[in-house]
Amino acid sequence: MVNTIEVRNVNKFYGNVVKTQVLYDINLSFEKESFNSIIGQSGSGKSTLLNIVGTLDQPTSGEVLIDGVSTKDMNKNQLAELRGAKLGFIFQFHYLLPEFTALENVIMPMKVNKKPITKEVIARANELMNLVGLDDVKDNLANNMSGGQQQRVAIARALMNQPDIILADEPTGNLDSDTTEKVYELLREINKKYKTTFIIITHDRRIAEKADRIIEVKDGKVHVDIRK
Amino acid sequence: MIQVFVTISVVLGIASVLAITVIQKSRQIGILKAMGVKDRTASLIFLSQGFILGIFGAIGGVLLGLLLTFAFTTFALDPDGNPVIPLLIDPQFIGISALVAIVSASLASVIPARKSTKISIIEVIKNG
Repeated sequence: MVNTIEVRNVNKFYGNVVKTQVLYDINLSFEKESFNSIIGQSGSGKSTLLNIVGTLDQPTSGEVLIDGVSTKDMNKNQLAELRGAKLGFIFQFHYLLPEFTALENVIMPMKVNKKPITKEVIARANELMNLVGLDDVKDNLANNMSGGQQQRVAIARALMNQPDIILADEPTGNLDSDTTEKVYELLREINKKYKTTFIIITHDRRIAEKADRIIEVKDGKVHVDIRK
Repeated sequence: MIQVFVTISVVLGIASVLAITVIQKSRQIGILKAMGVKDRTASLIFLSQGFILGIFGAIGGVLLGLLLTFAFTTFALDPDGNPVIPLLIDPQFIGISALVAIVSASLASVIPARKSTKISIIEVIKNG
């Protein structure tokens, strides 16, 4: 399989006066269309790793390659373009825009990347809403929905651009176990249907075990790396 | 001279109000940046907000000014029944005032707009 993401010798320090090393010489690669989970205790550096992979944060040394292209020397605008074109994010908190309806929030990535809002785009947004099971509430303002619904809107939004890669940082951290189960089944379905590569941080071992690959980060190093 | 100081204080007032909106909206700006919004586009949000604020302020100010002028000339009369202050409407002066309002509001939004380019996605995600 072709690698879509490569992490090469990544080190990350935080702080200017007192330097704390969070990541130690990480080398990882992620295959296209794979479903990966990252586990680890809080403070292990897993979120930092995901943020670096997603170009939201810069490594202190080392580089990240996305589809063979190094992101090291890209400027802020180039990184923004790359994110808009290839990456989708699902965070622990949904960060929906409260001024807009659920459907408008889902269409937002298209607007952000200045793509025309055609009938097909709206049809696709509706399809995604259907996929995440939010047909009835798609015209509600983002604030007039339950937490689980908002999180599912955020998932639909991450899919709107048809990104090659979706990075999720504890996407179900705020949800109950039933909804968590549903959300993961949904992500898995999307992974199969749209061939999207997933990297998901979770602290739920049961969920992690359902992935193709489990990476455990411990004290800033890759501790365990199991492929199925 | 007083106009200059009024303008300065208005500019500072608008700038501080907009600076607060930048902080209130930093979450949303952060997520938009994660979606691929460039810093320039993000700052345009605040520039246009300042511009729109300026237009509404100018319209409101001109209307209120005219209303007060008419009220004075109608109700403030001397014993002979003539207005104390004669009615004098200078369209050019009104135009310039409106322009000053719009320009100063737009200028005031430059500071918060610059501020919005400095919002880092990481900070937003970490601090919720």
